[in-house]
Amino acid sequence: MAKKQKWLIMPKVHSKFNDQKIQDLLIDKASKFLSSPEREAPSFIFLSGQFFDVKGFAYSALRAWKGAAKPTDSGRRPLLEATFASLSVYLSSLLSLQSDFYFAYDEIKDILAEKNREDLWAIVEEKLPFISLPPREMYGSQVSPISPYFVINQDEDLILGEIYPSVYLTEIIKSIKSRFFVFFQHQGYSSFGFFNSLPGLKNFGFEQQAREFSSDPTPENLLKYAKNAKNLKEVMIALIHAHNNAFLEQFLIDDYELLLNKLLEG
Amino acid sequence: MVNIGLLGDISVGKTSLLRLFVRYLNKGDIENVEGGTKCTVMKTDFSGEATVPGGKKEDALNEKETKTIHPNRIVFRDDKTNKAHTIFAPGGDVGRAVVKMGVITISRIATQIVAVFSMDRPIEEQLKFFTDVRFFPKAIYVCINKFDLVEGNKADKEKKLEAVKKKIVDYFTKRKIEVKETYITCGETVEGFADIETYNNAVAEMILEICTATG
Repeated sequence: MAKKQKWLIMPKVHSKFNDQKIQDLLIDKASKFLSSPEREAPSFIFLSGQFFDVKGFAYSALRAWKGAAKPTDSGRRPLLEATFASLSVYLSSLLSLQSDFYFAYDEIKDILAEKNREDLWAIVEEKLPFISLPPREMYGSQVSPISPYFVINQDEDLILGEIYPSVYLTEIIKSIKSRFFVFFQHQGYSSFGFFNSLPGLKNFGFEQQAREFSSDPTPENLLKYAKNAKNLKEVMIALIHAHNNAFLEQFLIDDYELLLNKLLEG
Repeated sequence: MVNIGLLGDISVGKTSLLRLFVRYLNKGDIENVEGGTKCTVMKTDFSGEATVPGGKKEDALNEKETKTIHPNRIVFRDDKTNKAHTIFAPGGDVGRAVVKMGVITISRIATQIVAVFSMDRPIEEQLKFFTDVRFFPKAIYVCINKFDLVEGNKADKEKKLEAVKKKIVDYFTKRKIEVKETYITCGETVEGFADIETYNNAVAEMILEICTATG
């Protein structure tokens, strides 16, 4: 355990203020959107954060992961949360690129449809979930841990993917067997969600335009917005605003890069 | 669709170039530059910036010193051709894994590379950045930024600029990479620099030219 501490930095309190009503409502809403009449919601953690100094990452979180420790729990280290927070920093870099190429795919689709070449689009579409990444030799003596996911569904601002259980990442972080995640981009900010099993997709809000939160950023207005959230995208917009306005307790990972460096060592 | 990657050492002004271009698009100034055309911003993302406490800019211009961690990016559409283009500006600190990852990824997926240099410090140390970047296309563009910081009269400035250009071209030629075009720019709006508009405009002209020539 002591060895792991060297490369996985535990989150520490960055900002103590916490609006319990906002936290409870957002967790409740997320649970509702992730559950269906047939099955209950999977365990989840949603995060939204920003860089703080060059190696720090400060974030707010919504937690409903059975058995996982919170950073404020005494006596237990929040290994899962620390891992997800660090992972989110470098996964988000790749995912936002993936999101940009959605524009290109749309254009390719239109061009091919115009030329009645749906057959070619079928070939392109089949390849979309497979991410093109730098080959191993580009890293010299290091290895690339950064192709650990498969895109299940994607629209302009939301990506649902799965972190493979077979990638190098899981040799380092044993607790990551197979994890599903969402990545959402909104006005230059982003939010991550991690799940322990694949929830139903109908309430994610794919191909739906999420409502903007344009009222004054007060807790009351945010609660009102969140109460009317109609899908997971809007819950994540509320989380982003809750983080940006420091309505939820914030935690800081001093050096998210230690984990990545460990992964790159190979 | 053209994907442009702005690559270069730390603090050569890659993010400033990107921000200035966004300003030209948002204010409609993009139509007034040479080769200008109406364009629409579809997406901007500067969330990869970390604020560096105690940075040099903090007092002078009420701006904070920042460092790019994730590649910044904008997607814009040329309204005339209805084509969307993306510009990526990853960080320059390749000693850091997350930043290096962005540089590697962008150098691979960008269809056009602009190697960005700053006139405010020796060019040799800025060229070291490119030693580590592999998978370049066979021909690239060069942007020499911060021209406002070159001291001396017009003849002195020209002389310094030519010397810098030669060093850059020699460096890439040795690596069998052709420099297609060199642009001289200023990515920030600097008071007291007489030709600022020309060099600001050059940023927008550079991007439009690359998109038009290769799109």
